[in-house]
Amino acid sequence: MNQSTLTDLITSSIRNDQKAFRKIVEGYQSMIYSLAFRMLSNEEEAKDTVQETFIKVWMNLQAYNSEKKFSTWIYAIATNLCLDKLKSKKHNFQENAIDNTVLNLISSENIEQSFINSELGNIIRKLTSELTPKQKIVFTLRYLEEIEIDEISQITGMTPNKIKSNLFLARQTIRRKLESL
Amino acid sequence: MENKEEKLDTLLHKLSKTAPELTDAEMLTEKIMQKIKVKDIPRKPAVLIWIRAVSGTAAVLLLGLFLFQQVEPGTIASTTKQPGHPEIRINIDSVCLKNINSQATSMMALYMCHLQQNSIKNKLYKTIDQQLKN
Repeated sequence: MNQSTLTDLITSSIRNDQKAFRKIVEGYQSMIYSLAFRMLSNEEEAKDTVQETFIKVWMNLQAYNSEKKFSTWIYAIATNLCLDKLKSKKHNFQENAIDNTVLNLISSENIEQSFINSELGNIIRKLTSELTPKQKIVFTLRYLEEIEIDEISQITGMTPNKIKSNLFLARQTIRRKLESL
Repeated sequence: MENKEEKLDTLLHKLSKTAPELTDAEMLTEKIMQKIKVKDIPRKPAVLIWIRAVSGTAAVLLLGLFLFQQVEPGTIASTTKQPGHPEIRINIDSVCLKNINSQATSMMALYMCHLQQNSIKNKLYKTIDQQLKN
């Protein structure tokens, strides 16, 4: 989606044009799903996060500053939602995750892709299980989504130095985890 | 050590290239659009935001004007002589206090005088004044 089309769609959406907003959803939902899945390692929670993100986008579209990248703004909304979920779900995560994975496999039409997603979720979960929510956020954004530190700083509101120190600690923890496998 | 770092980098690279795929994208889009339509989520119109900002500023200015009018010009004075610790006293009813010095005045008379001196037309004053006259 090029910038002028996106600007038109945003302007129309601000004027309550739901068709225009649908195009924005269609254009960005895979990107947000990928981010949320990598952070939460769970398909259902990732889909819920996508829905919550776009509802927030719809409600706050007039507050979007067009001088900034739209993807950065939308990433920031999704990241904050993921961070809230990571902070709140620590105690019952494992059990729910397994339940949801089984349910997804039963109900999924594309079982192959569901298996791939499930395996990918398991690997990411195992690697990042000992990271703090903030370390997990910056680790996912930098190493899995391959976003530059300056943009991560805009997304998370953290300083570049804070991001680097979180990344260093995350790498150390994951390396230790790999050695123990 | 380098070998371990390389292994980690390889693993992270592979994970970054294996993006999770959204299996039922259309259904998810539909759900989002339904939530927006069904709930009819209220959006703050841009005009309301401006009205809120302007009325907020006006309220602060009016409050400032009100406080300014309550203080008689020239009645703010420094009373303590200690350098670095000025104490400001606001004397609202200086005329009334002068009357106390010149003649024996009751508290009620002082209060009436205060109401008379007040710049705002006070209905309470009129009522009390009428009651006293009657």
